[in-house]
Amino acid sequence: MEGSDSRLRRLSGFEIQWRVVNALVYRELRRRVSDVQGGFLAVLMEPIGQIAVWTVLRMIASPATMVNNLNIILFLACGVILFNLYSRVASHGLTTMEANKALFFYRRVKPIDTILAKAIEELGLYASAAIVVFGLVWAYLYSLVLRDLPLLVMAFVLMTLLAIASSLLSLVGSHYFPNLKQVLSWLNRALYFASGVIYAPIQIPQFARDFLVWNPLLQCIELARRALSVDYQIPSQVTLGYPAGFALVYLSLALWCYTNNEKVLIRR
Amino acid sequence: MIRVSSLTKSYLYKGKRKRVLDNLTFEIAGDESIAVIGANGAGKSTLLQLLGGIDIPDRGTIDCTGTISWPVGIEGGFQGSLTGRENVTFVSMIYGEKREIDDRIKFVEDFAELGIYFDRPFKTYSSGMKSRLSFGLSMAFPFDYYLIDEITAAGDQKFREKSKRLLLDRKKTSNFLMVDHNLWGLQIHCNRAFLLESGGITEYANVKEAIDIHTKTLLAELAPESGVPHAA
Repeated sequence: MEGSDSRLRRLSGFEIQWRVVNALVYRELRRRVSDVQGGFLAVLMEPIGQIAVWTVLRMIASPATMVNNLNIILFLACGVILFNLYSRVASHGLTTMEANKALFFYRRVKPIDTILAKAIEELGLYASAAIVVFGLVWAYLYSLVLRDLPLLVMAFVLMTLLAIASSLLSLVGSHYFPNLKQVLSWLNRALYFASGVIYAPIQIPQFARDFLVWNPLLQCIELARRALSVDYQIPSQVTLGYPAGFALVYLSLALWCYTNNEKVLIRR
Repeated sequence: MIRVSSLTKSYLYKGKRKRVLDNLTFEIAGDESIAVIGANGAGKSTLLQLLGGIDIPDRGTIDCTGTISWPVGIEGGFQGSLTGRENVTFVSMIYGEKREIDDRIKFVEDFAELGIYFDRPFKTYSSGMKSRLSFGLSMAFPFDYYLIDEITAAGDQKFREKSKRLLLDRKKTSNFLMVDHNLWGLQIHCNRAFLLESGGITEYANVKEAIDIHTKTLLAELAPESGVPHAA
């Protein structure tokens, strides 16, 4: 074996984490492709299926093809894709220790790496799903509906950062309180309806809107919709600064919690 | 070199804390391979896991100037739905340099001799195939210390012979921290021994001496008439 005589190089913490996260993303993508019949297409079909169901339900309730001046499919795609991205990454913290127990025999692999890898993987998959859906709609409409690409990218990035923070807190929390899993699963369902996935916040009563706009997930979804169309009306409280600031503070808190508990999590 | 100071480890067992390792302090020089001997439950595997950084001690410190392997031959880290090649690629991405990944995969493929099974899901492997793959993978990386826990008992005669030869080859450039109930194997590979008893450790400069003492202690615990019942 070429190079077998050279000793293993001691790596910096950043180098190790970079390698581990890369390897975990590779492993997870290979696993998903081999575990799920139909490979990537099947993985992409999940959010597309949800969008289709909600579109049909909304069209039955009201035959309008636009929601708040935005094409109904683009409107739902932003909600479903961004929320599913958040939900899948956030809930990973509850199961990662059990699911990846054997991986921690490789001392370079730490619990946080599995969450970062999951976040990168889901971000890639859901961004691909968004490109497919937006592409299909644009092709159908014969016009590119995109006003602000950087804002759209920021919405995805901020949603991912919020999800990583939730995932880390779930990871630590469920270690001390195993029953938290049940509570968080209910909370996740409640968040689905509190994040404006299937409705436009501007169209709901003021008292409810003033309350719901504190939800940073709702703000990310609204920003993504706004990025697609200048005519899409968002509540005045929705700004890029709020979810960005929230994500910064929330992620700092989650990282502080995690670093103070990493050894406890690994201890057998 | 590995320097261990005041190492203590306990586990929760039926609501009570059971101390497995109690305030251990020792040093392992850069050119030493250690046989870890002790009765079942004495804490041998626990000690290896702590040294490998896989588990965290209650108290105490472990300083190491070199690289330490994962427990050699462990099969738990493999993803059942991935092929042998994909599993090896995964570990090589973590431990190997990017330019060496293909070489690592080739090494494991040649050692494991799985043929077409190397490209089939790990969950379809027989136990012998799993052993060959996991041992080959562990040996594909030039660690300074290898943690070897009962590996020489696995697989068929051919695999055991190949493993023995590979271990002897690795011994030229690396050191072993070895647990094995095959005490003869320990004498070949190790030049010092730690005997674990009641949470404490006794160091022996001579492996054979440690084995003799350990064997005598074990046999003395057997009451004269407590052997296998006589057949009618």
